[in-house]
Amino acid sequence: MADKLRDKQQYELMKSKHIGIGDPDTSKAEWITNVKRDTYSSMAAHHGLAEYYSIGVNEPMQLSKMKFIDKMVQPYGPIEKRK
Amino acid sequence: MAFDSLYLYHRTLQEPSFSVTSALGQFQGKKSQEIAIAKAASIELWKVNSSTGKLSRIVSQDAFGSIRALNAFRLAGSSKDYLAITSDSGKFTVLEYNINTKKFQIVFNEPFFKTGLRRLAPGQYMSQDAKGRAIMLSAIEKNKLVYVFNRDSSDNLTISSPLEANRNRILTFASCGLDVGYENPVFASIEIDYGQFEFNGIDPDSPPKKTLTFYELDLGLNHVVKKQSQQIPHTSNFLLSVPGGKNGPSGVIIACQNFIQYKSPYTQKAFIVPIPARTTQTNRDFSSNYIICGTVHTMKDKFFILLQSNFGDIFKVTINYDSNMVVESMQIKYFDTISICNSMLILKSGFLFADAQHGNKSLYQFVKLGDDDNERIYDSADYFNTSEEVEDVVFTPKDSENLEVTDIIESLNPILDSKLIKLSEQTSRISTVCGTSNNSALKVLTHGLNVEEVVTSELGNTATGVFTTKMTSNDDVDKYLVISFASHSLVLSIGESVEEVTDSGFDVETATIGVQQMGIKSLMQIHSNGIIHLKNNEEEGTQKVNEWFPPAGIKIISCTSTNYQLAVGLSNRELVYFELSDEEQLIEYQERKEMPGQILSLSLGDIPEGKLRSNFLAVSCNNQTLRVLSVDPKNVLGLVTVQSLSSNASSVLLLLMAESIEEEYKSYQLYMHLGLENGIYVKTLINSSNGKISDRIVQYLGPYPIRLSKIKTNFGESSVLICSKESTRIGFISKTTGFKSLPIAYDSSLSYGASFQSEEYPNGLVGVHDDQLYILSLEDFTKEFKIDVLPLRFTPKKFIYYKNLDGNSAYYIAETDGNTVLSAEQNNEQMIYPRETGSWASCLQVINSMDGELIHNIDFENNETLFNLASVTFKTTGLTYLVISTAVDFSFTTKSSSPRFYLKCYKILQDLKLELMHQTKVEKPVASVVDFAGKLLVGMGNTLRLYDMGQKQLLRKAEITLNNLNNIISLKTQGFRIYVGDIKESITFVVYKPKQNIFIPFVDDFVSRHVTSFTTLDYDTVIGGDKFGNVWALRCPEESSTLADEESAGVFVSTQDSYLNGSPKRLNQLCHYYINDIPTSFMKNHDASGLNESVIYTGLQGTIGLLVPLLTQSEIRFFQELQKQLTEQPELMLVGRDHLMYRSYYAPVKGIIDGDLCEKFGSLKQSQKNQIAINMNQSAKEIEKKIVDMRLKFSI
Repeated sequence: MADKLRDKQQYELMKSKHIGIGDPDTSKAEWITNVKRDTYSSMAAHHGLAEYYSIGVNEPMQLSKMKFIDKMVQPYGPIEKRK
Repeated sequence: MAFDSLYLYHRTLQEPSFSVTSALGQFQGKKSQEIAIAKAASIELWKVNSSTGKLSRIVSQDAFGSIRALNAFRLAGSSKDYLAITSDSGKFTVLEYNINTKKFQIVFNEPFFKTGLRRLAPGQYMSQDAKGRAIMLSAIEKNKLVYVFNRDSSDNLTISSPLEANRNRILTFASCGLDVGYENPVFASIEIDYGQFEFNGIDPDSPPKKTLTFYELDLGLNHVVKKQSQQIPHTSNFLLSVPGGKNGPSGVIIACQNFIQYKSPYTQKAFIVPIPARTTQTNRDFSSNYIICGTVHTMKDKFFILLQSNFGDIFKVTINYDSNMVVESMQIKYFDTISICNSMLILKSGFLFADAQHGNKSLYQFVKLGDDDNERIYDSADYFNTSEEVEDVVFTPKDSENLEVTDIIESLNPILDSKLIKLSEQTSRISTVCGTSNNSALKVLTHGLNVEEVVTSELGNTATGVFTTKMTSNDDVDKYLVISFASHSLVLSIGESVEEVTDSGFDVETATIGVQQMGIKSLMQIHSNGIIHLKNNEEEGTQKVNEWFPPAGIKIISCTSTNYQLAVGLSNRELVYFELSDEEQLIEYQERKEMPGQILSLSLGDIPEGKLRSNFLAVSCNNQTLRVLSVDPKNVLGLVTVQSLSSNASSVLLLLMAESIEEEYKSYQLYMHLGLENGIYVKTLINSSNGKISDRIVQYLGPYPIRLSKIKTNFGESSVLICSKESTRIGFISKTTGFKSLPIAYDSSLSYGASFQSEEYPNGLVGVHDDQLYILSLEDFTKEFKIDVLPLRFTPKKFIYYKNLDGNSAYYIAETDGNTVLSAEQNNEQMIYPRETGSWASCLQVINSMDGELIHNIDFENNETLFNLASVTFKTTGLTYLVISTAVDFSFTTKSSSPRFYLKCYKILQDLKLELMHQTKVEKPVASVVDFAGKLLVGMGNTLRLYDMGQKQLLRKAEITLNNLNNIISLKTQGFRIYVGDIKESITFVVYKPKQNIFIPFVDDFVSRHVTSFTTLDYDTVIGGDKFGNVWALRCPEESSTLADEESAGVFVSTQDSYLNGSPKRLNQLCHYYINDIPTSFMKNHDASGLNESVIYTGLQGTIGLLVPLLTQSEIRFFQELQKQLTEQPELMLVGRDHLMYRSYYAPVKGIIDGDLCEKFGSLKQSQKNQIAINMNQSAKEIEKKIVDMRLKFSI
């Protein structure tokens, strides 16, 4: 049993270090939240994507980037707390 | 597997003009400031001439990695700036400009994270301590690193291992370093802690608050601590450091919606001023003012801040403080309006560099600092919090009073659509629509060197030659311009004007073969009946004339000369050689040499520096041979080498050209240029000791004889002017890549040409074509395209080029701006269109492609959006219509609006104007329209629909819904085959069966590519690009292709089992390559000879690239090996990115060679070249030749 405990501890450690690590209990909301955060950050970081979007909506790139990061706060909705 | 392979060689013709950011610094270690610009994947350094206000580029270096942020920093006490860069290499790069090599070189490439532009990778933001002691790198989420700089005992820059300041669940929006003098460095950043929203919903009325967090680097303890956190409004987006130490109160400027605040970690009190609104915006529903860009300028004892709003308005902010550096108030007022910038830089010499986001980057000179105008000032004493509603905080935009443009950098970013337009068999233009909103323009690109027309004039007769000469050997400029006709000549003098002279002493009754200034004061005219030798004595005002005549009945047909030597070819095939004596007498060599054929052309070349004479004489005879004779005194007219040619050489030219470009080891090589009668141009190297010919480079320029002449410019080494009836090119050695041959971007070609140097035009060029005389002035050789600009009204979305049966042609350009009010006002930088949420401003402009005149303008007043357009010739009526897809009350974001979608048909009239026929309502937005089999084919959502022309509206004929697709954004057709490009689901091949009137999708892709644009390479192959910046080529399996075209196969294909929810078969991926720009169009191109095919693409950020097929296995192997060798040169990978990883950013690179990298071979040191040559078992010259061969394979 000690092994299992250590596994769990190690997992928690990894999870705090590396964002987005999942386990069998990862919920859909958690998963999608993580994917969407990756997507928005990618759109803010890749100049081409940010420019493409900003031309489409006719606003300065700087504001588009801010909106992408704003959306990373809660991209999917609240996640249910694990028991 | 020959069917299934395609190898392409990729080369960038025009680098992207988009810039990430820019920085100011003294990179050369001198007093002057230079501007470093970070492009998507390259670094440029520009200098400003402070007396003329002109910008010039010092260097541009490819980084082969995506640059995220750039900063210039300087260690205290030093006078030289370093460049700090973060990129997708996951390394922290420090570069230093090397004055000797004129390039940036790597100081450090410190790895700190995984590669790629990741959420957690520090480097999205870079902020530096004002004293250059430390730099903080921040990721979008969680991670922050601080690097500390120091100096070692020998004064070299050292760098600490990074200190972490990571905080979980923190998102960063902006960061900057505070100016704290020599206290511990402090960094500020705008952050949000999303931890509290993980499990709780966000109340829309109280959105998550942002915080302004200060981090302190404790230099003593060598760690970073979070010093302080203050709440700031949730719309905060912008941060700028305020000068500190002796120069000011320190602290930061934070901007949020409608307000600007001054905050400091040392005081609790914030100073608030509102951002004044445009008077044109009052009472309009639009999401207000933000600050997006700003800069501080510090003068001796004061400083001011310029901030730019999302409208492009610049505000001047001043902070008042007392002698204890305690802030008392802050003031803001309107300053000026310029294009929206990514960064603004103020130079000490009184210039503002505006690194515009879209459109041209500009350099402005400060005329005033806005001190004494009567703009209203808003003071922080009147405003207390950032949530209050302020009224009457407005300004009226006015014409620029404070700034004056002194120079611009022509920029193509963003290119939204482009077409390759063939003007004649020989020449094409790339027409692009660029820019957004009031920066929109139609830019027509002519491939070739920029020239300015100085004079054109009619001569009355067809000229057969043109020559220029100076008066004495000490002159810098030319004195006489001689134009030769069939049986007479015209002598013009060059001064402030060019006019005919009669007292030149030249014989004007015969055709001139050549003119030459010889010795110190002698002037020669070689005409068909003899040689006139003029000796001018200006002091005495006398002119001595000597003449030499060939034997009776014999004429001179060719000649060549240097300052010391002269050789003429006679019509009896004899070659006569002269040298000049010390008394400036022309001495004929005792022996005349008979050549085996008529002497067509002769060349002596240049006299090498420090020598008396040129040692070689090249002779071209009409028996398809070329001889190189020696004119060395030991062996005068002795034969050195003979070459037989494929055709008579109509022109031969020996030229000394710089071999190595680097200043320190400049050396010259003797090159022989040949222009053959069958239109082939050859460049070879002549070994200056034994006259052997090697390293042949061949280019075909069309089926006309070629004439060559030498031209001199003050910005480069000697170059060769290559004239043929249909194209005029200049061959030169480029500073970065070696030999290039580029056309001149001028409407007329030149049959004969010569160099033309006058006081006013030191880089002139004179040429004749039939009976026309042209005098042109060359601009520098760094630009490969000439750009003609026509302003447009709104952001151009798509355009077409249409030519009617009379040969008249026009551009039809669909322009749309979102959230903008349609107004008829002229566009310019100050007149920014009024903005209103949900309002669309659209127009369709018809512009004559010949003279750029606006033929017709249609405003769409019904709140309409334009998506796409096409010209369609309907079989039923036999007439051509313009079909444009539009939407009324459309919104990308709000679902609640009830948009209506239309296809509008316009009849194209005789004068190319449009007349509305009817409009057809459709259910969804139509993103693609195309002429197909005499009908109109549209892509509407995931539906493909065929329309025919009707009286009242379009008539639906056939339709298919492709369930696996989302939104068809591009359609191409060939015969009855349709290539369907989807916004998310790559390309699907569909065949139309006219008998059954059905569409059958028969092959699609196995990867979800987000297609932006594509074109067909052949019937079975497409090449396209996606929005992530990849280029790929896909090919249909042969068996599916033939099956789909079988008349009776329709039922069979359509009843085949679908495979994974798609068509029965999948496309094969032939090529894949990351270009780091979003492709917006692909164009197939044949060069003038028709031998070389290529694909030109344009990218959103202003890239124009070229893909040339590699045809043989040995070529492919050669370039693969060369590429491999070059990736191992660390100095080429400026940011330390692995080249293969970079080009394989999203998917492994396949079938495409990076020509940009191969071209870098020319910029290496000779020792490196030799090492690579040894590794590749070839000589360095052979490698260079192969690279040049690839370069010459392209012309448009």
